[in-house]
Amino acid sequence: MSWAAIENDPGVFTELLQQMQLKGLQVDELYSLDLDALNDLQPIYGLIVLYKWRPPEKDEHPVIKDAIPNLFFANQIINNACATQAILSVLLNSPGITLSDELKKLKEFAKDLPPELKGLAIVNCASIRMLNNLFARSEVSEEQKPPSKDDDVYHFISYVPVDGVLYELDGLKEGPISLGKCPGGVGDAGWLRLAQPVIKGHIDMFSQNEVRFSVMAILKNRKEMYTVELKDLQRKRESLLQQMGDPSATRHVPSVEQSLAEVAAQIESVTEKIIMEEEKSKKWKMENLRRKHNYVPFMFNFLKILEEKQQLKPLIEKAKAKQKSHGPSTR
Amino acid sequence: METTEPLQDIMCEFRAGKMSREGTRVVPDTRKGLVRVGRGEEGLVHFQWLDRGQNIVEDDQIIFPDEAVFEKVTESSGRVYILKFKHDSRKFFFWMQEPNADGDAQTCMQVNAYINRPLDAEADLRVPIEAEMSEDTADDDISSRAGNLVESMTADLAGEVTSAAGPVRLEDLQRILSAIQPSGAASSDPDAGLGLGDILKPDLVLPLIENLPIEQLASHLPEGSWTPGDIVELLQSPPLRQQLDAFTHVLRTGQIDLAQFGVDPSKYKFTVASFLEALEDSVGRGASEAGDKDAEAQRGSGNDAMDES
Repeated sequence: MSWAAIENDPGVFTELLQQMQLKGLQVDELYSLDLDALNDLQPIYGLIVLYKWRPPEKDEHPVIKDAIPNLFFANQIINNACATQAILSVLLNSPGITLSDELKKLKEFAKDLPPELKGLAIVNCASIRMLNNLFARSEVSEEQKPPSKDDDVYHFISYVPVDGVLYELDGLKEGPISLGKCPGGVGDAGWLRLAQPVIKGHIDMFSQNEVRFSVMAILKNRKEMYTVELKDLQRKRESLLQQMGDPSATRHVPSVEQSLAEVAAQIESVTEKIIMEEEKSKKWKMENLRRKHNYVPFMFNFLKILEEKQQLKPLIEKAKAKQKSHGPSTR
Repeated sequence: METTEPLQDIMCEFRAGKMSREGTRVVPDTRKGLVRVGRGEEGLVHFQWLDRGQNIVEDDQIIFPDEAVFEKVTESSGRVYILKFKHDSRKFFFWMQEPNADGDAQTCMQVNAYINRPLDAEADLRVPIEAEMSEDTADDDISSRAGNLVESMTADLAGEVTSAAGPVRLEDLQRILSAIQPSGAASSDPDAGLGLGDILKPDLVLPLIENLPIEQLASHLPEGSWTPGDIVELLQSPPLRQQLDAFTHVLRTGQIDLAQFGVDPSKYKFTVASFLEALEDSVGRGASEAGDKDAEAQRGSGNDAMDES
């Protein structure tokens, strides 16, 4: 059984996590490595850089060849498993994440194996492979599409703090790379500060070489967090309102009013964030549906109604003319 | 106005429109535009905006490392971005015009990388101390208020700025589509002629779509309501483009059972063209059979119509 290629899209990854029974998590694509913006997203369990290239070997940092306790480092063996493996590299190294039974079993089984065998254990894990393949592009393209030279070149690098040290996990290298101490761990800005310049360095290299890339973060479900925040704020507002209405209270009225105004603004802001997350969620759901859909019946019937309205021949002529004027398309 | 010197080295460019501030509102400029980041002859990084229709550089500014950031406006659900200066209040808003939003994040990261790249390895002009965090809450306030206004502006121009949030109006789509360059997703074999992807190109289909009975396609599409605009948008989406390519490939290699389509395989000779001819035949046969039935029905209903009130 083989691994199907899936799209490197945060909506796909988030749903993959749900399917893995990790419902309290989401994956967001990053637009900025600004530390303030990143801090707003905390707790961040790990950062993943996905890129479509095979860089020349360049050893700036020494790779750690000995096994490190509590660190799960696996080699990337199959290219189509790249994205799923990148996610696992963060999941299996985050004590803050409660793993499903399947993942616990995998971790336990593979924990003492060398990196290549860890990688092999992952690709042979039928349940994970099946989940990955749920997001395969629809059947039509899977088996029958001619392989292009673009396929099979996705790689990943993950950044995850383990036991107070930030590690760079590159599945193509022999071992993990330590980027320095970060005693705070997940939730603390320390490891982000260490990771930021390193990731920026990669982006510079990608930009110079016209490499497609994306940077993603594995986060706690934002909507849940914002909902908890909203409830807290509402409770705060209730108690402030009570203070306002209580004649025996010796509180200074203007400051209570000011607090109320602040809380009202915060409530508005959090509510908007919740709405944004819901919109994002809806959009991802719809995109996932469309991705999985087999459009062959649609395509065929579309051609058919074009023909019924006698529009197919003229359309073909126009397409021919366009092709002549633009020449053979190249990309 | 002085003519701008062409850039010596273009680092990146992408299609984007600009937006202007009118009082407290941010209003999109509907012109097709281009943001270009590059190095000038003097060695400094320029951030330019070009009017794509006229192909002239309308805005050009020099940005020193650590002077500005380019980020997505989080208060808006559309593809709105801001170039913000850290040490003064200059703010410039842009809306993405690239057809595919998938590349937005990468573009955003790259622009930041370029505008903050050290000018010269030897003459290291990087500020050694990190720029102070802005404590100016009034500044943040304006930024978030502008974001809100951008959002409402975006909603007012539904379809103008974003197609992901709601139904796309055809006339907007036309404008957006005319900016799309011919798709590079051609068939793998250039000698074999036209692929289905070339025929079902969104800009070719757009003028016809209003007159097609698309309600007949509803059962073959994912759940939800589908307007003509939605279908044209679908035709440019990656999953559909990939499947068109794959279907073309399948037709050419014969890995397909035409019977499932009710098409007589005798005319089909492993080309897209012959498949379409076979399709034509099957439609023609269907039409002539239905035509007889139609004629009868019409004659019949002619009398009934008069009785209906």
